[in-house]
Amino acid sequence: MIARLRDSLRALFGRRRFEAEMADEFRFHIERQADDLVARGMPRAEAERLARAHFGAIDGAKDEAREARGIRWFDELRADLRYAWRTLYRAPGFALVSILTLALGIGANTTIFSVINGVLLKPLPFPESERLLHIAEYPLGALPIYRTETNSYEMVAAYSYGGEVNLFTGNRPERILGRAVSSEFFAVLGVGTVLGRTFRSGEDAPGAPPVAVISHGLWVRRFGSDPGIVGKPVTVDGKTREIVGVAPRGFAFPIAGTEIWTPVNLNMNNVGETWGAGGTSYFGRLKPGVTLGRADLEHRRLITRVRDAFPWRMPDNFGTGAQNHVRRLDDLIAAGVKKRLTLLFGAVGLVLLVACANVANLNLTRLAGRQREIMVRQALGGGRWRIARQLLVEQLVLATLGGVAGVTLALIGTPLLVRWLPADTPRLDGVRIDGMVLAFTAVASILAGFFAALGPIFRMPKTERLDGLGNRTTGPGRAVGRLSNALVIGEIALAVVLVSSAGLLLRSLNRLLSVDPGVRTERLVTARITPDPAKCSGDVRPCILFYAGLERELSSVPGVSGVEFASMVPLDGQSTWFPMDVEDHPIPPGAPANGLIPHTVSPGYFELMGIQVLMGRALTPDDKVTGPLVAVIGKAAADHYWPGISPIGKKIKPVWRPDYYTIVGVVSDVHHDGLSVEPTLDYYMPIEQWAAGGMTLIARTDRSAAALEPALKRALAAVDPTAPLSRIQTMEQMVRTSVASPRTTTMLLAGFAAVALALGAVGVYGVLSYGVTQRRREIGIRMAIGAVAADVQWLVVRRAATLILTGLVGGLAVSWAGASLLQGFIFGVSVRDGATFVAVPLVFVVVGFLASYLPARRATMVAPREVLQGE
Amino acid sequence: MAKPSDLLQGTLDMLILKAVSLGSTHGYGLLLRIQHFSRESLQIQQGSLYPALYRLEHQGLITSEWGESDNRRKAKFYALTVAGRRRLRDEQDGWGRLVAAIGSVLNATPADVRP
Repeated sequence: MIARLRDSLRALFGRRRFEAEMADEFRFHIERQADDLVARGMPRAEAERLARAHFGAIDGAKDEAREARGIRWFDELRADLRYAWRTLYRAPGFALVSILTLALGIGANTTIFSVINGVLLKPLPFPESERLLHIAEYPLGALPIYRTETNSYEMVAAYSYGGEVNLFTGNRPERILGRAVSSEFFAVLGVGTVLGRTFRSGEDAPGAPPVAVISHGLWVRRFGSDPGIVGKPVTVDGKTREIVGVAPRGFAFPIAGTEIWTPVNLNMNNVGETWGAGGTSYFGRLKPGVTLGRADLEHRRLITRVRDAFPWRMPDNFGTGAQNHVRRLDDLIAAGVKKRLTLLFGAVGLVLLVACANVANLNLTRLAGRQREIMVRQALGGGRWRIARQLLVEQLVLATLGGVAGVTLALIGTPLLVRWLPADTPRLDGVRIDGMVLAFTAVASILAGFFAALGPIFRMPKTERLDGLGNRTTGPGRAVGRLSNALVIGEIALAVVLVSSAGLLLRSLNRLLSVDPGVRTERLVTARITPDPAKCSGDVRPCILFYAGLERELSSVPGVSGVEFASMVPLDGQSTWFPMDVEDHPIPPGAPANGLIPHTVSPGYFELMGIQVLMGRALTPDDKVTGPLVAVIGKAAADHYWPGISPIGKKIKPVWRPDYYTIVGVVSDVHHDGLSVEPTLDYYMPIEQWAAGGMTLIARTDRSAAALEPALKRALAAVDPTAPLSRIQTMEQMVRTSVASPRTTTMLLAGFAAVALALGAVGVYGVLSYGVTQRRREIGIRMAIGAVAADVQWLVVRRAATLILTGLVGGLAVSWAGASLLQGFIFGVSVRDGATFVAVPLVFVVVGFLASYLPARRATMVAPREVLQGE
Repeated sequence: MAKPSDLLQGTLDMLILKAVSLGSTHGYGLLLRIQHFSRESLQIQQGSLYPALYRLEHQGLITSEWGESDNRRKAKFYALTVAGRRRLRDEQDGWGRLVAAIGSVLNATPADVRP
C-alpha cells in the first residue's frame, strides 16, 4: 500500500520525467514494429503508418497508463480546478457574493477562535503546565503545612492577594502591579531569569535580607535595560530591596502586567499578618503521574488540618464549600471568561452556518440556470460523480478564496477585538493568528465548501437528458425549489435564534445600565492615593495628618469644588468583609462568623456621593480619633441584622479588636460590587477612627480626569513626594468599566445577529427574486387574464410570508427551548422575556417585507405580451 | 482469417507475467512473445499492453529498467519481482484448476448423468 502511494507520488513529482519516459517507450515500440514490417519488405513510410495504426490511440493509452500509476485523479483534479476557475470567472457577481459571504463568516469565526485559542486552549507558557494546580485560598500561615505535609506535589508555592505596590526609584513614585510570593514561586512555575537569579529558599523567612525580582518590561521601562541591574536597590512600599533578578520577557504571573515580585514575610509570630489577613493563593506542581483526583483527596484531608491550625477557632464548615477543590491552573485563569467566549463562539458558528446556507442557495439558483450545461455534459458522457465532483471543486475553490479573505479580515479584526475586550480578560497577550488558528480556518473553510456544495449535488438534475436539451422552458425540478425553501427557512430560523439571544442580552444590558448604583456619578473624578505602609497603616494618627494635609493642598486646585476620601469607591473591584461581633447576634463556637464590609470615609463623603441618611445622622468632622467610636451602616445591613427595629445605638466591632463602635446612623444602599450584584452589608467608619492605608480621592469638578491629573499629582507631591497617584478616572468611567464584560459580549452578539439577519434577508430576497424570474410565464398569463398588480404582488409576498413565518416559528421554538443556556448572561429579565419574544417576530416581519419589496415590484413589471410571445 | 480470441477477463496480467518470466525484455518483445507462443491466435490490443504493464509495475509485481536494445536503441526492460513470481504461480494454479473444472463439465456425457 505504502509502496504504491510512493510510486504514485514519484510519478506525480517526477511528472515531466514520467511523461517523457512514457513517450520514449511508446515511440520505441512503434519504431520496432515499423522496423519489423520494413524487414518483411514494406516501404518505410507505409510501415510507420501501419505501426502507428496498430498501436492505436496513443493518448488513450497514455491516459490509461497514467491511471494505472494512480495519478489520473490528479490530472482530473487539475482539470476540475481549471474548469471551476473559468466558470467562476465567467460569473464574477456570483463568485464575489459567495466569497464575501463566506469571508464574513469565516473571518468572524477565525477572529473569535484566535481569542479562544489564546485564552482557553493554548497551554500556559510554563513547562509542563498541565501539572500546575491551583490548590486553595488560605492565610499565609498555612504555608508550612503545605510545604511539609503533601505527597502529591513536587513543590507548593503561594502568592498574595493584593496586586499593587508603590515603586519609588529615581525620585518618581509609581503604582505598579506587584506580588508578594513565597520563595518557591518561580521554581514551581519552572521559570528562571534573564539576569540574576530567582528567590532562594529562606528569603521569605523573617529577618532575611529584602530582595526583589523585576519584570523584563520594568527593567526596560524604568531602569533603561541596565545590564548591571542585579544588586541595585529599589524601593517597594517604602522598603528598600535589592534587585536579584530580571524575569524573562513576557513573564507576568499571576495576572498580566505584574512587574515586581517580592518574598512574603512568613513570620509565624505575627499572628495578624500570617493568619488574620486572608487571601493568599496556593498553587503547586504535581509530581509526575499523580492525578488531580488524588491531589484533591489529599487537599480535602488537609483542609481540616489548616482549620485547626488557626490561632482561634474557625467555623466548623471552614473550607467545605463546593468551590474548595483543587483545579488546573489554566482552568482557574480561564474560568471567568470561558462561558462568555463559548457563547460567542457558538454564535459566530451559527453565523457561518447562515453564510453557508446562503451560498448553497445561490448555488442552487445558479444550478437551475446551468441545467442545460450540466445536461450537455451528462449527454457527452460526464458521469454523475464526475459532475458532482466538479460542483464540489467549484465550491471548494470559493471556500478557499473565502477562507483567505476571511483570514485577512481576521488579521485586522483580531487586534481590534483584543483591544476592545475588557482589560481584565486573562491571557490576551497570547492571542494571535498562529498555525493552530490557521488550521482551524482551513478546516472551517473546507467544511463550509462541502456544506455549500451538498445541496446542489443532491439536487443535480437526473436523467431527463433529452427533455433538458430539447425543451427550453423546462425549469429546475420542484425539488430544487423545495430544497432552496428549506435552506432559507433554516437560515431565518438560525437568524431568529441569534437575534432573539442578542435581543435578550441588549434588554439585560439596558436593565443593568439603568440600575441606580446608589451614588451620584456625574462630575466626579476619582484617583487612588496609596501612601507607603510605613507612613499610614495600623496607627491612625499619621494617616489623619496625611489626609488632612492632602485635603488642604487640594482645596486650592482650581476647578475642584469639593474633595472627600473613601477606602473604596463603588464599582471599583471586589469588597472584602470583616468577621464581626454584632450586638444581638452572638455566634456559638464553631459557627460561621457575622460579616460586614468595612468602609472608611471622610465626613462629607455621603453628601458628595449623594448617599442619603435614612436614620440617625451622618459622620461628621466631630467624630475624632479621641471621641467615642461611631459607625454608620447601610440599609441592607440594618435590614439584615435588625429587621423592623432601629439599629441606632447598637454596637459592632471586628472580632479581633477590643472596642465596640456604636451605630449612629443608617444610609441608603450602594451597589459596591457591581450593578448586577445586590447591595452588600456595609458599615462606614470615620476617617479619624480607622486607618485604611490607601484611600480613593473623590473630587467634584467640571474638568476631565486628564486635565486634573497634573494638579492632583502636584498636590500629592507637596504632602509626600514618595506617594503615587494612580487610576485617575471619572466615576462614570468606573461605572462603564464595571459593565465592560457584559457590554462587549452583548455588542459582539448583537453584531453577529445583525450579520445573520442581513444574510437571512439576502437569502429571502434571492429566492423570491429567482422565483419571479422562474414564474414570469405564469405571472404573464395571470395578468393577461385580468390579474392586477396587487394580485401579482400577493403571489410574491405570500411566498415571503410562508418562508419567514416558518423560519420564525422554528427559530422561536429553538430559542424558547434553549433559553436556559443564556441564564448566566442576563440580568433583570427572564430568559423567556415576553418583550423580546414579541419584538423579534416584528423585526423579521419588517425585514421580510423589505426583502420581498423589490421582487414583488419586479413581478408587476412583467409584460404579459412579451412573455406570451416569447414562447 | 479467424478472429483472434478475446482474452478472458484478468488473463492479460497472467500472460504478461508469464512472458516477463521468460526473460527480461521490452514491451514490444513481450507482445511478440505472447503472439508467438499462442501461435498468433492471441492478439493483444497494443493499447492495453502498456496500461497493464504500468499497473503491474505500480503493484510491485514487475520492475523496469532502461537499457539498450539489440539495435542500440534506448528501451525500457521489464523483469519479474519476487512478488510477481509468486503471483504468477498462484494465477497459473488457479488457471489450471479452472481449465480442469470447465473441461470436466464439457467432457461430461449423458451416461454420466444417469445414476
